[in-house]
Amino acid sequence: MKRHVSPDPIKWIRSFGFLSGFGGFILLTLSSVNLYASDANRDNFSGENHKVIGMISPGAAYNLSGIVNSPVRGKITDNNGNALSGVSIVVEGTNAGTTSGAGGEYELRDVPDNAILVFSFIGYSELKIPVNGKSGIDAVLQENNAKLGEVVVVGYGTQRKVNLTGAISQISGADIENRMTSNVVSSLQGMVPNLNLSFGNNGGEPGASPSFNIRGPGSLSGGSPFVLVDGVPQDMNSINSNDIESISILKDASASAIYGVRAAYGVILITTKKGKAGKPSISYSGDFALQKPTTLPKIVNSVQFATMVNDAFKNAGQAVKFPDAVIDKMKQQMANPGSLPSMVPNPLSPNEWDNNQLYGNTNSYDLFYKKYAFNQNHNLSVSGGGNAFTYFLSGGMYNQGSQYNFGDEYYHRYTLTANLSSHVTKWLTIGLNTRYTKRKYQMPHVYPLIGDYYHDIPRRWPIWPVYDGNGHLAINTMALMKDGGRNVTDENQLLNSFVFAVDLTKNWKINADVNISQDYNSNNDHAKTVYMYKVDNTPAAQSYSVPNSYAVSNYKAFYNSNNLYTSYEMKPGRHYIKLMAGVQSELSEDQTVSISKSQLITDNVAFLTTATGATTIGGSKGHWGTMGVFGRLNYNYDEKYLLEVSSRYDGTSRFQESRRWGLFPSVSAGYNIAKENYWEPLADKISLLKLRASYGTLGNQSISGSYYPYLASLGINTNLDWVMGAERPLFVTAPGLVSPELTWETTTTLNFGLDAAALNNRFSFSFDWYKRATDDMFGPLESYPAVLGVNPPRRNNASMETKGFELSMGWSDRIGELSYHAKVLLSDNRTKITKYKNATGTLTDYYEGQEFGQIMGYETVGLFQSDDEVAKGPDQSFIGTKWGPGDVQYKDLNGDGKVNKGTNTLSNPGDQTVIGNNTPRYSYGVSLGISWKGFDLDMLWQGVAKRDVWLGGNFFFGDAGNYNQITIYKEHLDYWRPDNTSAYFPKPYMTSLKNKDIQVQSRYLQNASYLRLKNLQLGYTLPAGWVDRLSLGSVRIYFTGENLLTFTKLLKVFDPEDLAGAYGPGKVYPLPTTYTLGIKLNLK
Amino acid sequence: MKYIKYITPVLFTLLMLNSCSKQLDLSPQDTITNSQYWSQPNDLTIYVNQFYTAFPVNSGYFVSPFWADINSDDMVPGTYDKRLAGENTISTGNASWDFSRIRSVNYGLENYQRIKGLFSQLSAGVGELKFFRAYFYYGLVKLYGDVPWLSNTINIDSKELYDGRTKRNIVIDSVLADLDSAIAYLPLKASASPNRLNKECALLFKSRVALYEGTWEKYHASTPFGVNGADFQRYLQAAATASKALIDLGTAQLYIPNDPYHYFRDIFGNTDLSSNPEMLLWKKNVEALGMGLHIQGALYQGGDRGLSKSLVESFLCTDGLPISTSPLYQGDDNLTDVVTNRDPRLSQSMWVPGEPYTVKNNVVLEYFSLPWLDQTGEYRCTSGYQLAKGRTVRVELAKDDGETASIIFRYAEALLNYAEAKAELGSLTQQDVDISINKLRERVHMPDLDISAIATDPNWLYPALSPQINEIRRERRVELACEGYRLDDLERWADIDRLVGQRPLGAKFKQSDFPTLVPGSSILVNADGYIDPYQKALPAGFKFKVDRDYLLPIPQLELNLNENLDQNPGW
Repeated sequence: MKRHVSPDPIKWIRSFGFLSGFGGFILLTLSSVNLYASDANRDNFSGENHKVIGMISPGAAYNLSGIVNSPVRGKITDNNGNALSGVSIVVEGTNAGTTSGAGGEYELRDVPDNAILVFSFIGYSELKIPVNGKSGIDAVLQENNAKLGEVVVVGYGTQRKVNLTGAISQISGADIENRMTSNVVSSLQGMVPNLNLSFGNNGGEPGASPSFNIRGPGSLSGGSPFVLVDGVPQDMNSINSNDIESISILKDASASAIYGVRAAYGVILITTKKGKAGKPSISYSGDFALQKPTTLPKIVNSVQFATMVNDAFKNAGQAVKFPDAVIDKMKQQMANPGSLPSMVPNPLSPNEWDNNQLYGNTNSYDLFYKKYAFNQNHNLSVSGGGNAFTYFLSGGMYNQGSQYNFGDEYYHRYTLTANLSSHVTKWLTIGLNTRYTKRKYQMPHVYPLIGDYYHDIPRRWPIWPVYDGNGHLAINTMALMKDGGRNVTDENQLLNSFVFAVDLTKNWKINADVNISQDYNSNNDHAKTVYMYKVDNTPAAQSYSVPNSYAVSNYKAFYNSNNLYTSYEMKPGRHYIKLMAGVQSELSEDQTVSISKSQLITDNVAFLTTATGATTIGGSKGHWGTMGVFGRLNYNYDEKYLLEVSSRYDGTSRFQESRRWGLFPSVSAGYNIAKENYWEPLADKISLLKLRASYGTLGNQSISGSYYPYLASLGINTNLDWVMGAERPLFVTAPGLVSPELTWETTTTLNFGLDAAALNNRFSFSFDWYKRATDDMFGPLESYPAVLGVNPPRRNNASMETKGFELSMGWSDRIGELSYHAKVLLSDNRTKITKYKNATGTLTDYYEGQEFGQIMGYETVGLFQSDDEVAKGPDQSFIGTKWGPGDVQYKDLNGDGKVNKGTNTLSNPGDQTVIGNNTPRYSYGVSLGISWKGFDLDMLWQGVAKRDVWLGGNFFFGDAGNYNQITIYKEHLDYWRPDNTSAYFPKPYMTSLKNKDIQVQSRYLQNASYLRLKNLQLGYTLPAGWVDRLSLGSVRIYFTGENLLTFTKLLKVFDPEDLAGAYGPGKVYPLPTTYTLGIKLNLK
Repeated sequence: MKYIKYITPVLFTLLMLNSCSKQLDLSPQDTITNSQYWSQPNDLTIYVNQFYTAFPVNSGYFVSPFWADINSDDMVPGTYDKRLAGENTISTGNASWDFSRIRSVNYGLENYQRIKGLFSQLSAGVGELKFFRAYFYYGLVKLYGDVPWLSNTINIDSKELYDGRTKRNIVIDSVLADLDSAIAYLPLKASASPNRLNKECALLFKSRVALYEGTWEKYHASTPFGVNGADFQRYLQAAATASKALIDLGTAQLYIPNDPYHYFRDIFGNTDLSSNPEMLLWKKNVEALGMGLHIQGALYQGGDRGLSKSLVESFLCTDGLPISTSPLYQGDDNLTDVVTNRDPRLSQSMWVPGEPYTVKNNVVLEYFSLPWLDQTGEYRCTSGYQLAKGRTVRVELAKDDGETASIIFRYAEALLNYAEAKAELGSLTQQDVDISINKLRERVHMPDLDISAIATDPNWLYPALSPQINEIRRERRVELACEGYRLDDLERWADIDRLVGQRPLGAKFKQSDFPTLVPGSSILVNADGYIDPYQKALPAGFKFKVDRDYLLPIPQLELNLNENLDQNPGW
């Protein structure tokens, strides 16, 4: 074996050293970057080794033999002879270049005779012309057909886009790299049809990411898409979007069948950037952003608050809370702030502050959130290499600052990536892809008796003053956030992939990879004792913060997957055949250990060792594995008739032996009409017209909550709430019921698609229609009489069917120096339950024919306006008592004179009916962009055209019958009272009497459709001339805004995308609106 | 060398095939399967532990037996009780139709025999299982009357799923049989593990269950809730026998606090009851184990509740006569008058002016002056009679926190059960009274009850019943006030009939004490000047439906799922 020598490892080592000071790398000055760049150039110039291996790069040739330098002139036109201005002309391998003028003319000085000129212009194919000593070179640029030549990453390989037969969307890393979002998923919103996001209970919390599905809910047990990064399953959040080369979204069965075991609900393949042979390319990007909450409710003033509360007490037949004397003082305080003490001692207990005489006028949101949080994002990458060795190294840092005024939270993400590849011999390439991600979050400790802060803040009423008479914080939530303990999560993930590629012959390749991913996460949670102050200024420990405690939870996980696959390609005549086959194994292990200890000696030194109280220890340990054998055949005839057949045979550890294995086949075919001879006359206009069809079956093994769902085991628990002797003992509970018969869920997808490109590919079009059936689904537990005394077993007991479509249409063109593009995406999906065991038709369970997401409730007639109306109305005693003016009148749908739920079954639903559906329908995205002389402007609008939601709760109604939970915003003042009989909201009650008016009903069903300006970018790329003087490759500065405008019919208290909340709809961390200034530098 | 490229993939393949043979046979690493459990006696003990959390206890801020009587005529919560108001709906109580703990007990009873060992090592655990099955079934019978009886665990294909309900008296017979086993198997308190069930508990509980069923069948005999062929004498006899057996055991005694002033209130609000002979079972709360409570803070405030006028008026005067006839009665113009010359249990169950309110380092920082009528929410006292029972008097107070023990079973109940059972049987003797009621009276320095000379009270709640029963019921109400017994008593005596159309009242309202309160607006007062919290909310008083509301409805879902279930009367 001949020994090859390459200079690249040296560069690699230098680069690595350069990156190793990662934490401080952004502080490196540009000059040092320049210095490095010139070093790198010098390496390239000492080109002996290039000679040895016969790899003479054009740039090197220029430097080695650049004897004569002379000017070159010329004119640039398109293939219709029109002059093209603004075309970039660069001497390959150098920074020297210019752009063409108005008449398409250009001039370049000092061009070496043997140089190569590179002509590039948006919308046109790049053209390279060797100078060969000529002084006049005219260029004719061809309009870009590159889109047809585009290569798409598919499972275990790549494929030309024109030859795809499955439903695959691909977007490039460049499309999302300047987005100021904390995670990749959010950046994809509105970019990929039928990739649907939803923000859960964590909302816009720093570091939180939305959940997402492809083509609608796959399973009632919540199947989610399978995400692989360079072939290894990964959490999308651990990826730095700047490292992404491309993202493929595999939607139908044929596209994802090769991942059978885990791909039932779609696959997302992320490919990271790799080094390319050539000079080192260094790029840096930096973003500085201000962030604020997108939507915050508007709080009423103290008098409005007290008035509505009093009305609520009166309506419930109770004594009012705020006597007139108190309200008069509130008015006085509002008119003349500071004229009264805002807190007074309790007359019955003079050292306590009186909770009934509070004369603040506080907007707790203004107090709770900062006006702006500061975020920043920095990325540095170096890539390059020679024929024998390529590298891509990158480091990124994303910091999200505190949005809280009192809470000093943060989210930091650091990523280090190295993708290295070496051609060891002519037939063997080995590579190492390694990625380390660290994510660190801090937030205020959440005191369990308080609940979460988003639940608490709405309840810090306007009457509360911020500070007590002695100047201490008077609102316990603020005190807890400010002085309470902190909860710090530290997540570390290290992935190493060893990749081997063997070229047995020119057409026969073998690939093997070994992937090892390790996670080490820890959470340290300090519950600190917080003090508030009594009238005489003595501190009083807040009861919910006693005793103080410290808890540590450590999680470690190990994941290994091994892939071995081989492919053989042949092209007999106009036939093309490619065969691929392989095996895969996976093993995943994880373990959690958690310890908490109470009664710290001091809160200043908080750890397990400084606590003297009770110790609680918990933990879990588990593992699972899969095995699979897979194969794929691709065939086409003249790229006109396309066929793909693939299959996978999979086994999983999660089912018992006899139910463990499953076969998942798929087939797809395509017909590119534009390739037919008879199409020739039209080929100018329509260059692609492809029909596609696919059909296939996939499996899902994931049942949340258990790795061993077919085995029954006893629950072992610690810390019984009962002391025996001196300790809280262990207790063991009975095993649940399991179904040993449990096996795979399967999905079967039928997909039809049409792709087209027209008018020199300025117009592109793609449409897919699909039907996905999920069978043997791990449905919800069936209902059995309660005498069973335990949850029935999980079973493969349900089926459902999703139908939908995706449409994308793009147009890009140029008018003179102005180029522009527009893209419209539209998608939809609807899901129906097709099988579920519910013999009695109980409405609280799923039933056959039910549409997923349906909202069942009463129809509303309106608000009663008089006792007479109540008397004439139907009997509503099933719902509640004491009906009167201002209460809701429901519709007696079945005409029996009573409003009720019947037996709450399909055959007797009483007066309930389907009033809406909360599935987001017709999701769309519209992106528009223009660029002109270095300026570029891009917009992304995203929305949902149809969606109903039932919100309910305090956030919606203001009061839900419980004084402690009352939450009054401007909108809530429109409640029924004798002088406001046309009110939207019913009359308030301060007891559970309220329940009768807040039943799920049509009147208060909300329209959650929305349109949102997700992203706006305005950038300017500095002219090449300026940049040259700075010895830079390119410089772009830009402004980016996220979540800038929202249009919705929803009650203004809510954000249409952020409707969850552990304590009720809307009680959730708001989504951020960010304004970013950024810069991107390329050094060449 | 040139073959290496062919050898490498072959080696890879072999490596992978080797790793796969066992890879998919993975079993749980952190849980125990049924076959691995049940090997040693301690396995049974650890299994039984789970059921102890079923007892009603003080916890956090809001759950406490001392507040439980807000669903009765003893207390007045800020928001009226929906059941008393007749506002229960068909969906009320769904969560109570729960057989999961019964299944868990049955699972234990089915499996403990697999443990290798002598029965003597297992008997206490088996006794506990039997006790708990009885305890859970008694809870269900109280709510629903007839309930399906299950003596085994069942599966989704068992026909028992679709059985109808078992008659309540048959269920109670099984409950009593379980309790007989528990009495036989459980050790005496002295030899039982601390804070675990013992023979005394089982005897007391048996008397409670039998008395409940006996009086229920007797007083509901002519109502839709009656039992065909009722044999209430048998249950009353069982109640008398069980409580007498406990009395005769002699291992339990009334606790006599040595606090010369708080000789009743000091029975409650303590943290350690291990040497208290009255407490048959209690829950220990240890702050260092994460079990700190806020009940002491909650008993400092009004708690959005108060004692009712009716309860306060049921306490006798110190001469043993009711307020209607006693010359010692001072009227109720103010709190001091109310408690003057009254059964000391009254002034020690509620806050009265001059009572030390906050104590620190043995120094009284604050004395109680007025009830928290002008506060709101959990601070407010609704009735003007503010609950103090349960508030500690012994230790200095860290106001909000504490380790107050929860009393689960106290011996005093056995004395009351005994006297009542005997009275209902018609065989009550003065000697019976002397070993029961009069023991309680002696503790609080009240004159004995002489059953041959019971003074007539024109305000007896039960004029149709014997003076004996009236006075025994009064004694029960006074002794166990606000401890969570009252609703059960009202139900089994069919006594909620008495409350229909009535509103509970509180103390007399004195404007000069509360200048900021405006009658009719920020406080509701009736024509006689008494606080009338439900004046506007329930103008027509409680509308408890006497032919419906004594039992909860069977959840509609259960009726749908099992057509053999029938609904309770009136629903």
